[in-house]
Amino acid sequence: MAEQASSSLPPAGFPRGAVIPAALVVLWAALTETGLWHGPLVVSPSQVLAVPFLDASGREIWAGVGASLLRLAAGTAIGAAAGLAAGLFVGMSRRGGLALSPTLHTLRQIALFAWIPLLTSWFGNGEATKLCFVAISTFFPLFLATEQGLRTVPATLREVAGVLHLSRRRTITALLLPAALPSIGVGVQIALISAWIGTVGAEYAIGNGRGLGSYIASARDQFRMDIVIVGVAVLAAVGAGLHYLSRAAIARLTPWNSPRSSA
Amino acid sequence: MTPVQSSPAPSLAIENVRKTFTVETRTFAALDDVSLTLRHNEIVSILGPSGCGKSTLLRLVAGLETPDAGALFINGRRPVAGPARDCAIVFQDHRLFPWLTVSGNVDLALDSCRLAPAERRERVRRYIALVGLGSFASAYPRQLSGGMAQRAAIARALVAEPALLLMDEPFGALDSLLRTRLQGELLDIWERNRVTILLVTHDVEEAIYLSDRVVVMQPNPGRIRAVVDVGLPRPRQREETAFIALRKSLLELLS
Ligand SMILES: Nc1ncnc2c1ncn2[C@@H]1O[C@H](COP(=O)(O)OP(=O)(O)OP(=O)(O)O)[C@@H](O)[C@H]1O
Ligand SMILES: [Mg+2]
Repeated sequence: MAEQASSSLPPAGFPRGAVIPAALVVLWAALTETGLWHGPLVVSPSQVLAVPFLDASGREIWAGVGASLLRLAAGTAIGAAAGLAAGLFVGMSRRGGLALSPTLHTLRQIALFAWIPLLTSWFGNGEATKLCFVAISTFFPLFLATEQGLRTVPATLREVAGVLHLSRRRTITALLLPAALPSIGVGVQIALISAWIGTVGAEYAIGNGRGLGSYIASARDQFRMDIVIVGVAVLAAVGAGLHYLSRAAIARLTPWNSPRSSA
Repeated sequence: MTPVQSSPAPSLAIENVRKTFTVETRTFAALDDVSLTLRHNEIVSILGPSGCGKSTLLRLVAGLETPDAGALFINGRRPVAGPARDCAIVFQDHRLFPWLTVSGNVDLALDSCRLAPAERRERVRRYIALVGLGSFASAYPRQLSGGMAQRAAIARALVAEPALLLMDEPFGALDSLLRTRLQGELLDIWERNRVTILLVTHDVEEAIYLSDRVVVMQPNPGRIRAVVDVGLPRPRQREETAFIALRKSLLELLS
């Protein structure tokens, strides 16, 4: 069926895309294992690989990743829901849009990390600040994508909804939401990446509590380059995983967007 | 809804309607002083060169545009602003919702009708079968050919069994065999449901075959040039002399 065509797309060009990282790792291994490249902060790939399993403080990375993912989920749920709601409100109600839209479009000009000093002064250095930061980092991508998706609902289909006398509710469920869904999907993808950067960034900047960001920060303070490298690798892997997961989920949710296929 | 039998208001009355469009700074009349009255259960076709305002006229009737002068009445009543009630339109392009299957699209037209779920399903099934899409009921629009999509749009317009049916070149994308079949189906529905039909076509034979009257329009500004009574008994034979003679005179009016 239609959905198979898109959801079973391979991660585009994966084997070829792995060539450069693999070559770099081989080079790194060759340089460190032979001792050509050495120094107090130089570690080899085998040391790094062993860290999350064999090293006592290295094993704590799993708890850190778990804490970060939980924070990501909670913050994203709050921020994305609010962004979606704000986008729907602005996109569906002309008057509401005129009232709310300028405020939000001004706020979104604030660089993400510029919120941290504000948030810490309001909520302190605890969980509330971090969650709020993650929520903000997802709010704007979803708000913008939802608003944009609703703005571009084809006028021809709006006319159809009119002549069919669809109820307001049915107009929303059968026309506005599905029409905006591809755009909202792109918003979710951007929001997840932004949320992950936001989660780890907030942990790193604030520095206390559990989480991948604070874990990397403390490893850096102890000059544990092996742990820092593992942390950064895990950071990238989780980000890439979120990206592929959300892409696959969105392809499933919008099967009509897939290329023409036999019924 | 239906008018009292003793004083039947016309199904549709178009009175001295004018519609102008402004593109950049140039204003021109897409329709000028157009008047036309359709009795209940009448079929009227509109013929005319591209750009003479046929679609615009249908859009005015459907309530998708407002006239700059003149007025339109459905069942003797001027529709309040917005799309007309108990009136369905087949657009020139199919305008199916891409995220809904064929049945989903057809079902949408029953949203404002109060039907029991079972009857509603049966209606959707029946009209999809009627346009020959039975085995494509669960296909998405992008899996359909142009003609199939157009037929799905026809099913969507018919399914609510409206009193007034507006069709903008509904059979234009179909091969001649299918076109002839659907013309027959349309006449069957018309006999069963007592529906008034205003149909735009480029096909002179189709106009004669289906209609009680044929309206010939001319462009710049869009006006009615002539209204021709067909007056042939149904079922009509495309080969009979009167049919061919009528075709000839309509073609002359069009040129
Ligand atoms: N929304 C609009 N804005 C500006 N001009 C318009 C608009 N809609 C229609 N027109 C103009 O009005 C005229 C009549 O258009 P219309 O679509 O009614 O023609 P038509 O008779 O249906 O033609 P065709 O047979 O090609 O479908 C055209 O000149 C067209 O450019
Ligand atoms: Mg037209």
